[in-house]
Amino acid sequence: MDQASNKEPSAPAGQPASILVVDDNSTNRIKLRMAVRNLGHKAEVAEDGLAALEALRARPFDAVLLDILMPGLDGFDVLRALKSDEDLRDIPVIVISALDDETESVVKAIELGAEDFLPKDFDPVLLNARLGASLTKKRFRDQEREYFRRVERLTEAAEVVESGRFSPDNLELDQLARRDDALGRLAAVFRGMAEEIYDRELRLRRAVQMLQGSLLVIAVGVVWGLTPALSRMASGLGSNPIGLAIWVNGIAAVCCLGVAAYRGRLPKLGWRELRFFLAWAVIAGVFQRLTTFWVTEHVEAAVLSLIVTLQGFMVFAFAAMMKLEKATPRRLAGLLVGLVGVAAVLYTRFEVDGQSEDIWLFIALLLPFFFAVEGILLASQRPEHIDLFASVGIMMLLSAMLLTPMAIYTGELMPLFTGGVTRLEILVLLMGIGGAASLLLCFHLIATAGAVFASQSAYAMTIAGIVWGMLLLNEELSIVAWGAVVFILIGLYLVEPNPSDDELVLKRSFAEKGREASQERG
Amino acid sequence: MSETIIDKAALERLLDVIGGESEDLQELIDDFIDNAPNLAGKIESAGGAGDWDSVRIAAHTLKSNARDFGAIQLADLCASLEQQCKDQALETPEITIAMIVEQEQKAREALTSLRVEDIGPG
Repeated sequence: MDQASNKEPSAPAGQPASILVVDDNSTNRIKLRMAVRNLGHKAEVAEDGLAALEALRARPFDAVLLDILMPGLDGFDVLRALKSDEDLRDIPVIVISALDDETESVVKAIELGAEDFLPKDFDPVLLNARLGASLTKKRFRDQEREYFRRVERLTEAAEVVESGRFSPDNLELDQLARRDDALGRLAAVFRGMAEEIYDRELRLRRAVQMLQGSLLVIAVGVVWGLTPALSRMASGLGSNPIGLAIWVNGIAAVCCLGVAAYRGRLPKLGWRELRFFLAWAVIAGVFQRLTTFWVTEHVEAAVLSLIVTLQGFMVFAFAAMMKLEKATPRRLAGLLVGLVGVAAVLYTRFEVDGQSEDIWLFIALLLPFFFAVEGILLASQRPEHIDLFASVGIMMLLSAMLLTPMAIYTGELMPLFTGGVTRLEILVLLMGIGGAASLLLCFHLIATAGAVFASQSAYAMTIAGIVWGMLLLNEELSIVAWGAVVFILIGLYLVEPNPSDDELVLKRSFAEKGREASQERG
Repeated sequence: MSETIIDKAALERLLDVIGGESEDLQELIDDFIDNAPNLAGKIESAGGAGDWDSVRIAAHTLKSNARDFGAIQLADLCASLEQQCKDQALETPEITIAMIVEQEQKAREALTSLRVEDIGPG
């Protein structure tokens, strides 16, 4: 049943209308059908009340000519059914009666909502006049109904705006705004204003996202950049790399899992989650670390720093291939600008003499590759239901466990805290907390701004590494390093955080504001 | 003969109502010829069974059909029977019913032998 079709506006004045003739007597039915067609209208017939209601519910009609005395559902029953149906109650009904003896019936029919009556032996002029009057009223009512429906639509749109959860599309005002009358113009103005507000809010949110993301990138870089300086200090105190890594990861795991436990967010792990954490631990805890150890022995620190920053381009390529994020020339240009800044610093600061063995330069590319894989893994596979602290803690724990057999094998297992707390123990503690903090920030950054934007923390890390070196190891700081910061900031601006899919919610009430304003003036 | 049973003025009015096409009038007349015996038969059988409500409805319908085709006596008889049923003041319904059956047959015969081409406005 197509209820909606009955809402269609009736035929315009002068156009043929669609009339339903209801009479159980076939001779009367044929006569009425012929009479209606003679007046230029379309006529359909129904031979009882049930068939009439079926036809009315299935197709739109402009008026009904209804006999009262019928077997089964009689004319009164049909009238009652029509008037109690929201979609059908506005179709005018003209009852047909033999006037001489049915005055009572006519009165009853009109009380039940019949528009008019017609004697059985009507003449065509009378039929035309009564049908015409009914159709005019129906047209007027349809227009009125249509008008109220449009007002209702507009009010609904206002409610959506008031709820704060709107976008120019979910207001569904396009159809209304296209009409060229007062209400149409009101809808257009309303839609335009809503769109304006929405766009402004969106721009504001992007700006906030940008600022938050940039601060996070710098924070990740600053904390991460601390690691080489601390490692060099620890190495000076007689630690070995793998033994140190086990302690650092272990301390980070204890910190993170401790926080997760305190917040009651320790998760139950299924196979899917465990697979993810294991993959992450192997990439970040084992591959990245081992590659670093091998490569640092053969490649100059400055060149290695530069190579590590290439991870941004790798993440960009992966994200583009996997369609995780939009890959625009603007974002690529942003990554290049950052690279130029970092390259300038490294070039002026260190002697890049090109003495590194070429084969090791290629092997060094594995390092940014593993960083990029980690970034993409976090962006696309992270189990979002697991707490941030718990996630980082589990990964750190797993990577410490993976490194332990290796340390036992190479004899690099490093006993600590045996002879009280020395400078080395404090350093390891600091590195553990720093490692946890940088991963937490990085994880959060990837989750909110996307892997490509987050990859720029490699630039910040290089510059921060130099600054930390100056602060902790009394190394010299060139003015170019500060210039590079500007380049990195421009790069951040160009790359832009990946826009979030979260619904924009406006937490303010326009109606309240309007009422307040009118009260102030009253 | 048919002049006294069928009022041609009524048929002219009917022709005017349906738009003036003789073929349409013929279709209507054929329909009445098909259906009128059923209505008369129904009045007779329902009357025999004492189902006066059915008698009233059938009489009502036959009355309005008869008026349309100018069968004045038949229409009047039906109106009288309908009124009696309505007032529950049945005096001699068997006689009225018999007269209706007779008049219905006469009207039908008169309409059958009628040439629609002879009916025209004015």
